[in-house]
Amino acid sequence: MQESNFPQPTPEQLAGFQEGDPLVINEVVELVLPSILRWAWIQYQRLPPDDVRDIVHQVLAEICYHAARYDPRRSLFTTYVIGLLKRRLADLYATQQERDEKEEYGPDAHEKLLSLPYNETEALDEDTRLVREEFFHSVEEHLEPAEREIFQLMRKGVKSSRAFAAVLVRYGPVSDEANEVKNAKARLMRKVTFLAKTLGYAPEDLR
Amino acid sequence: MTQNRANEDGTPVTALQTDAEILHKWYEYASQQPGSIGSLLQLLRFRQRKSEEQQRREFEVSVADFTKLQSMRSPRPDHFHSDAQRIARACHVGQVFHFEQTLMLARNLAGHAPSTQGDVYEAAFDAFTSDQSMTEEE
Repeated sequence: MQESNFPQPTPEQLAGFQEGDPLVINEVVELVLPSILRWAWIQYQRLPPDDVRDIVHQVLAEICYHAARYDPRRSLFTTYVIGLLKRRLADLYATQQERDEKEEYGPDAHEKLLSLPYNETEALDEDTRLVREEFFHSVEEHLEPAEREIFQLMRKGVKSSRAFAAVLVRYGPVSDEANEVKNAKARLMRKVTFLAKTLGYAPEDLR
Repeated sequence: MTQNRANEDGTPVTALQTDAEILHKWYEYASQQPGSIGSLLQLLRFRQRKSEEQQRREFEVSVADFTKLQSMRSPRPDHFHSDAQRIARACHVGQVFHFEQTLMLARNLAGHAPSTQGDVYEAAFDAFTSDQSMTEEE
């Protein structure tokens, strides 16, 4: 099992926790809550702190309610809490993201976005389009899930860095959104270029 | 958006909250959750038409300790007596026996543990409310 920087309950506390002992449950919460909440505030700085706190509270309350579900042999207590938290915070991030985009682009943003690839595709030479499609399909098979989603967004012509950040945040915490999106895109482009060479595609067929 | 709030040195405002402040918010949240002592005591307050402050005074417990007390999960049915006493001690409750009785009454009222012992307390509760209504009439 991995080491952790978070304070961990003792084996005795974990045993009491699993048995549903109310006092021990309170001890465990008092031990881990401040550090986990501070961690969440730092990792998810783009989310309103009160919303982050609400999610942390909800997750902890559910864990306490179903105390017997936690198995200390499988993971550290804080790893278990953070694993559940990441999923919830990613959902919150996506909701926030959607709200921000509606405010930024207006109610017809979705239609505008959909029209972009269609218009682009029409202008392409049919052979080039086929080669491109075949290439993109091959590339996607070699990408990690997060890279694949970013790749699909880039193909759709999405420009908003928040859309890319929403993908990244589903696969882990994002502290510096702009930088991490930029790096992820750059890494992906390097990988795609490398794959194009490896798979024998001519750059002119892909432009 | 509020998430980018920071002090002059760039430290997020939230990072400056003390452990005590963080835990206080948790106690407030947890006391509203089903299965908490807070939810049981609230049920009883409603039935007895008592305020939270009245209940706190009856238990002889400080405001801070009462908030923490209410956030805790209810005693386990099979360890009710010992759990209630340990919780009372941890939260510096003055009237431990009264707290334990009240909790048992609330638990029975919530229908968690219908038992012979519970019936006695239910009867005591009915008597108590009757007394109270008589006092109100006077």
